[in-house]
Amino acid sequence: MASISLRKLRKSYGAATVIHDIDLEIRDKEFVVFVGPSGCGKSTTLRMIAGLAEVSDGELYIGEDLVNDVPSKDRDIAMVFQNYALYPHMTVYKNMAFGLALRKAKPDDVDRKVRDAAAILDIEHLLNRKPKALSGGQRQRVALGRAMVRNPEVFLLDEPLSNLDAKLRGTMRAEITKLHKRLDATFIYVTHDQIEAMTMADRIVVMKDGHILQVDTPQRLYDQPVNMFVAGFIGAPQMNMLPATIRRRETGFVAEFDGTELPLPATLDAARITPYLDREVVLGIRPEDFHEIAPPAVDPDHLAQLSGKVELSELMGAEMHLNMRLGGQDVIARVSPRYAVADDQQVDLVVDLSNLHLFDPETQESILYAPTPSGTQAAA
Amino acid sequence: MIARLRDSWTREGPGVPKDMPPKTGLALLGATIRREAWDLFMLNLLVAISSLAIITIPAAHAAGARVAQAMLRDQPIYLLRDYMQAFRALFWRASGLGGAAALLVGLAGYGVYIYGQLALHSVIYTGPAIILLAAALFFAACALQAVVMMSDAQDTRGGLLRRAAAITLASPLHMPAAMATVAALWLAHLMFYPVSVFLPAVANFSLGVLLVTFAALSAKAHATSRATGRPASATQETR
Ligand SMILES: Nc1ncnc2c1ncn2[C@@H]1O[C@H](COP(=O)(O)OP(=O)(O)OP(=O)(O)O)[C@@H](O)[C@H]1O
Ligand SMILES: [Mg+2]
Repeated sequence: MASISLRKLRKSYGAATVIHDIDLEIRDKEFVVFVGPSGCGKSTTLRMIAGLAEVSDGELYIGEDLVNDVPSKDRDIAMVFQNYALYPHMTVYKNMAFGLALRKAKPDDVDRKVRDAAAILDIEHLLNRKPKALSGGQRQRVALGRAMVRNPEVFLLDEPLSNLDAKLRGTMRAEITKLHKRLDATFIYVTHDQIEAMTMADRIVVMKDGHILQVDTPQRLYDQPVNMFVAGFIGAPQMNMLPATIRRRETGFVAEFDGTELPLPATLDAARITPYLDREVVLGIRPEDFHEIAPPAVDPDHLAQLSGKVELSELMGAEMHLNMRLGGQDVIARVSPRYAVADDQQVDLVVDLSNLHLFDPETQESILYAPTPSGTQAAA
Repeated sequence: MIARLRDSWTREGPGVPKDMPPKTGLALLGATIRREAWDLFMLNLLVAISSLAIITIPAAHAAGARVAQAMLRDQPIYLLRDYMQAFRALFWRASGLGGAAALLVGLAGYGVYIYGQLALHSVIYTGPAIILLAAALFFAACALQAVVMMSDAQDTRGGLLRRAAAITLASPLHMPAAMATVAALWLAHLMFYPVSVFLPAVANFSLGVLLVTFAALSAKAHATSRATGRPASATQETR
């Protein structure tokens, strides 16, 4: 059993606290991805779980055991570090075999495991090289291989693919997912890459400034971000944030933006919206909710029309990004690449409001979605 | 300061291109020496120390040859462990072969000496002296070829001596070239004696073993490709 619980976990360096009493429940065999801006404390949290950084306060459980004071080597954890941490004086082969040899594994077993891992990672031709001769991406794969051969209950991976080119990254992403399925281990994975987070995670943990902002399945995180930071952090291009005022009309609530009344879907929780009546809010609309023509599958009551000027159109192949000026705001719309539009042209776009978001401009919290207590809600 | 040292020690390297064709011939030898410089230095100490007892000389060199083959083939090496394992595994066979070879080469050499003395008095004895000299060289080359093949973990076929003799005849230049180079190494040591004491301590043993191993593998590949009409590689086992 390798569930992991962080209970009011804190890390301070002298007077500076970098992790603020975070709570998190990670289930056995779960694949959890940590995302967040640089310096938000992802690596620090990982290092505490690995036993490489002391816990300043709070409790850390692995399975049933309180491990605050259990040394790293007794935790059955393998960690792939952001900076590889290979032994420079050992060959790749020895780097990978070393942990096993320490655990008194049979030489034949060690050899087989090292070669299997090397084959998966495509580093067989490097086995007799010292890390000094290797490029960053090659070192990264060696570091990954070293963790793979250990077969631990918990894998901690700190941006293990950050130094690889796009193609290799895609392959390795699939390999790590397969590895997770095969090994039946708990994975905690840190990344800056949204695609990695969305495709690999059972649940994503969004961190900022040493706090956990939201823990959810990738889809829920995308559909129901609990604050403006998460809404902006997940999804590319970013969610558009527009100032609007909530009004009540006979037909229901509307959000007034730049003189246009955008009808709020009737499905939204009226009790949550009422307190914001006649107040300014932030309206969140994802770029893909703008369309050049009304999408047939959407309830016409949820559609509205907005007019703006195209400042720059970026053709991405499968889609087109329009950077627009709309009601005094910069807005990005994601439309079909076949939409014939020129820069500086005035266009009418249809906006689908069924997935809109509303945020309190002061607290930046979502008006529609409350945070789920971390770790209590089921993985997909 | 410490951080500087550590960074220079752990700095990222240029990487190893995966699809680069493997080096062959002298380029392979050069690349191996450059890459394995440190392990060659350590191997030199191992061979030198384990040759001290004189009767252990053949086994020491056979074990060295096994390590040298791993180096040339770019295989993972645990120097001390692999060397000791090979030393123990090869000890009796290497000693037997080494003893027999020493006897044959010694006898032939003695013959060369005797007939050489006689040749000073009568030219008629030059013939036997030259024949015996060639025999001594052939025995030595053959024995070295056999030692390398014996220490090759990938080569488990029987008929070792017969095959070694055939290879030495089919590729008569490889091993003598290596022997000449090794002889030159030792000659350099003797000629520049006090200044050159470092040579045996640093390189002569392991470099000698590496050169002979390289020559033996190349000779085998050369002989194989002559026999089969297909190209063969020195660093891959050909069946
Ligand atoms: N040894 C230390 N002493 C003081 N502060 C530290 C120490 N190690 C980390 N910090 C601080 O803790 C914070 C969190 O660092 P951490 O390495 O966990 O960030 P991260 O989320 O992994 O960032 P990145 O994405 O850049 O890797 C940073 O502000 C960092 O400056
Ligand atoms: Mg980090």
